[in-house]
Amino acid sequence: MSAFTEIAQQFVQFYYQTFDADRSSLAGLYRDHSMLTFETSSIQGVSSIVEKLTSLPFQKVVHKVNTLDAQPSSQDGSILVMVTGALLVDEEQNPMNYTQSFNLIPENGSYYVQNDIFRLIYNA
Amino acid sequence: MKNGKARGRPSASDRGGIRKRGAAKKVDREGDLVMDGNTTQARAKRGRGDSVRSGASSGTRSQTSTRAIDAIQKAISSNSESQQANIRQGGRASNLEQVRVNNWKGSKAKSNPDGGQESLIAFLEKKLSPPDARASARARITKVFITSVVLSDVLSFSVMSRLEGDAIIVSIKPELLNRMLQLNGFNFAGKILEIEKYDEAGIDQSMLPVNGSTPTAADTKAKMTAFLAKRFNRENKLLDLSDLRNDPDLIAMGIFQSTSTESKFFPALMKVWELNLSLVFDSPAARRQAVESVSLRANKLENLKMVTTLAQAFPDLKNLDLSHNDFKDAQSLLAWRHKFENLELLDLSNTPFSADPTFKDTMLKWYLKLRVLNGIEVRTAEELAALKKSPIPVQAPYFRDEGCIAENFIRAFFSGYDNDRNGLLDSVYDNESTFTLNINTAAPRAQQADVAAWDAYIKNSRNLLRITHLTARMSRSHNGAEKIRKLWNSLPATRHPDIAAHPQDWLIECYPIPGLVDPTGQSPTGVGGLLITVHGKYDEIGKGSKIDTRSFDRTFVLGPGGGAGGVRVINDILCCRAYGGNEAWAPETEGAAQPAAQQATPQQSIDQAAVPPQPVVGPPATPEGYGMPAPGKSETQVQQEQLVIQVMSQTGMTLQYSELAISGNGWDLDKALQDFAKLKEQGTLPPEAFLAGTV
Repeated sequence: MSAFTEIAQQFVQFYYQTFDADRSSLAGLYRDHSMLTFETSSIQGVSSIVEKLTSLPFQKVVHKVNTLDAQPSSQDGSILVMVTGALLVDEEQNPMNYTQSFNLIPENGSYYVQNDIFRLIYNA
Repeated sequence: MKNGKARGRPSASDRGGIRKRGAAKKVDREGDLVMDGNTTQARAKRGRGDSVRSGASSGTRSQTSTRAIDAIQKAISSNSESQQANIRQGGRASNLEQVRVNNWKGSKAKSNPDGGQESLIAFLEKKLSPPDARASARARITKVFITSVVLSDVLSFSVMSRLEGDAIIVSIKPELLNRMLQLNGFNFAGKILEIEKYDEAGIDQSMLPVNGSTPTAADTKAKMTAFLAKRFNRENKLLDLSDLRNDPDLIAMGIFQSTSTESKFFPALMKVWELNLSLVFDSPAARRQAVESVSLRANKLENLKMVTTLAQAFPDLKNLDLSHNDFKDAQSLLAWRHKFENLELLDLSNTPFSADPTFKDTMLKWYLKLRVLNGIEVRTAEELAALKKSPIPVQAPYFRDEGCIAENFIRAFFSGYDNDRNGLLDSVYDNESTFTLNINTAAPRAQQADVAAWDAYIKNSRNLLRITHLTARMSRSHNGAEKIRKLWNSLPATRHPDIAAHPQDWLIECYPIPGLVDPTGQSPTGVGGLLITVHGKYDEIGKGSKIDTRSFDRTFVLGPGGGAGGVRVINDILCCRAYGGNEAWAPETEGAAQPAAQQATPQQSIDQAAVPPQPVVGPPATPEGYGMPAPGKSETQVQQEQLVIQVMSQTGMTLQYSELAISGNGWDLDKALQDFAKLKEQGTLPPEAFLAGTV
C-alpha cells in the first residue's frame, strides 16, 4: 500500500534521466494504448509516442524536478503522479516551467504509463 | 583603517581594484562583500564618531569627493527596496532603533521560500511581546531588510545560497531595544541568534571628514539628485548621460579631477538614481518602466568598467545610445553581453568597433530583440516574431469533456472550495478520496514581489523529494472525506477568480481516462473517468485580512459516483507556488510561426480562451458512452473511439468523417491530421464534414 510513493519516485527519476539522455529509450514505458499529451497534441501508441518525443524541436534537454507527489488511483495499484519542475532546452538561458501528470498502471510486477500529460505552466 | 583603505579605496593610479569589482556581474554584492569585510567588526566595536580616519582632513578635494561618494555607496549599498523605504522614512529620525540579527541562516525554517526570514521576524515579534499581549498590542518589527542582497536580483533557484551569511537588520521602537538585545543567544529553530545594536548613522558619518568645508555624503547626494533631475526627461522616459565631462555641475563637483573619483561617480550616481526613483514610484514595475532610453553618447568610453552598473539600474532598457565613444571591439562591451535582454535600438555609430566586419552579427547575436542598429533596421517584425517563438510552442488548452461533467465540476468546485469546503466535501468526496498538497518553493514569480510565508501549508506539504520517511509520507496523505475535512479546515481561506469573468486567469484541461475500478463492481473492464488539470491563481486571505496572491496547479481524477453531478473525486493533488502570472498559457498566435500542419489543425482551439465555456467539441456529437469502456466493448474499440474523438476535436469534423479519416490512415492520428490538413487546403472537404459552428 505504501510502496507506491517509492515507485513514483523511482519512476520519475528514471523517466527524466532517460528523457534527458536519450528520449527514444522511453519506448519501454508505454504500451499501444498509452496516450501522451504534450501541450495540446495527443498521441497514442508506443511508436507514435516515441516519434513525437524524438521529433520535439530541441536537442539537449535537462529536467529539474521541483515537486513530486503521488496517490494510488485505484485498488488495482495504479498510481497518479504529479510533477512540477523546470526544463532547460538547448542554449536557452531561461528555464521553462512545467507540470506533468502520469497515470501508472501495474503490469506483471512492473508499471507502464497509461497517460502522460505535459504542460508548460510558466514560460519564463 | 589601513586595511579599509587598501581594500575599499584604490589609489588613483591603481584601477585594479575597480576592475575587479567592475568585472564581476554583481557589483553591488561584490562591493558589499568588500565593505562588509571591513565594516562588520567596525560596526560592532566602533561607536559613532570615534573612528575619524587619520589624515582624512588633509585629503585633497578629489579625495574627499571620493569619500563622500563612498559614504553614499555604503549608506545605500545594502540596497534592497525595503531599505530604501527605511532610509526614506529616516530610520533614526523616526525614532526607531536598528538591531542587527546574525546567525539566523540555516535554521530549520530555511526551506521556506524566503529562507526563513519571515519566520525569524515572527519569532522575534513574539519574543518581544509580553506573554499576555493581545494581537493588537503585540510588538511590531516595522522594517526589515537583508544586507548585501539586491532583492530584484534574487532568482528563485538561487535564493538560498545568495542569502548565506547575511544579517537581517530590523528597526524597532526604542522601548523594545533592551528586550530585543536580551534575545541575543536565543535559539531560533536550531540556530543561536546573535543580536546587537546596529548604528547605521554612525557608520555613515565615521566615513566622512569632520572638516566642515568638504562635501558630505548628503551634500554629494543632493547634488547628484539635482544632476539626475536635470538629465531625466520623464515624459520621454529618457535619461541623458551624454557628454558628462563637459557638464558644469559635475566639473564643479570635481568628479573628473581624478580617475578614482571618476570611477566611483557612476556607480554612486546609479544608487542615487535608484533611491530617488523609489520615492517617486511605488511599484517595482513602475520603477522599471520609468526609463526606456539612456544615452551615454560622447563620454570617451573605451570599455564599460566605469558605467557597468547601468545594467543593474536599467535591466529593461529598450534604447541605448553609446555612439561617439572609443569602444574598439566586442571585448570592450563584453560586460553587457547578457544584459539588456529587451534592447531594441542600439547606437554605436562613431565608435571604432562599428567599422569591424563582425560588428553587426555580434550585436544581433547578443541582443535577440535588437531591431535597429546604428539607425539601420537589422531585424524585421517577422523575424522578431519568429525569434519570439519558444522551443516548445505554447498552445491552447485541450478540453475534452463528457456532457459538461468536468465543466460543471470545476465551476462548482472552486466556488465550493472558497465558500463552503464542508459542503463540497459532502457532495463529491467519499471515503476513498485522496487529497495531498505540496509547495513548489522554486517556482518563478511574476514580479519580484516577496512571497508570503507558507507556514499554513508547509507542515502538510508532501513533496516526495523532500519527505522521504514513509510515516511522514503516509501522514501527509489525507485519505477519506473526514481527514481531508480536517486539513481543509486548517488551511487559509481562499478566493479564486470567477471563471466566467476572468477566463484569462485559468488554464483548465480535461482528458477522458479509461479503466478506473468500478465501485459497484458491475463492470469488470472498469469504468471511464476524467483526468482534469487546472492551473490558476487564488487570493489567500490571511490573518488580519492580509491578502496574498498565489499560483496553483491541481490535478483531479474523477470517477462516476453518487456525488453531485454523478461524479466522485478519486484523486486531488494540489501544488501551490508563488504567483507566476498567466502568460504561460496565452497561446502563441502568430500564424506565420506555426508549422503548416499545426496551423491547419483546430482553429477553434487556438482562438479559444483558456477555459471551458464551450468545450472543443460542441453539442453532443458522439453517442453517449462513446470512447468510454463499457461491458461488452473491446479495449481496441475503446481506443479507436478515443482516437476518433481526438480527430473530431482537432479537426472540427463530424464523427463519421473523423472515423473515415483515422481508419483510412491505419489509426495513425498524426497521419490522419496531416491528411486532413492537405484536404482542407485543397478545399475538397464538403461542408457537411464539419460539425456545426466549428468552421
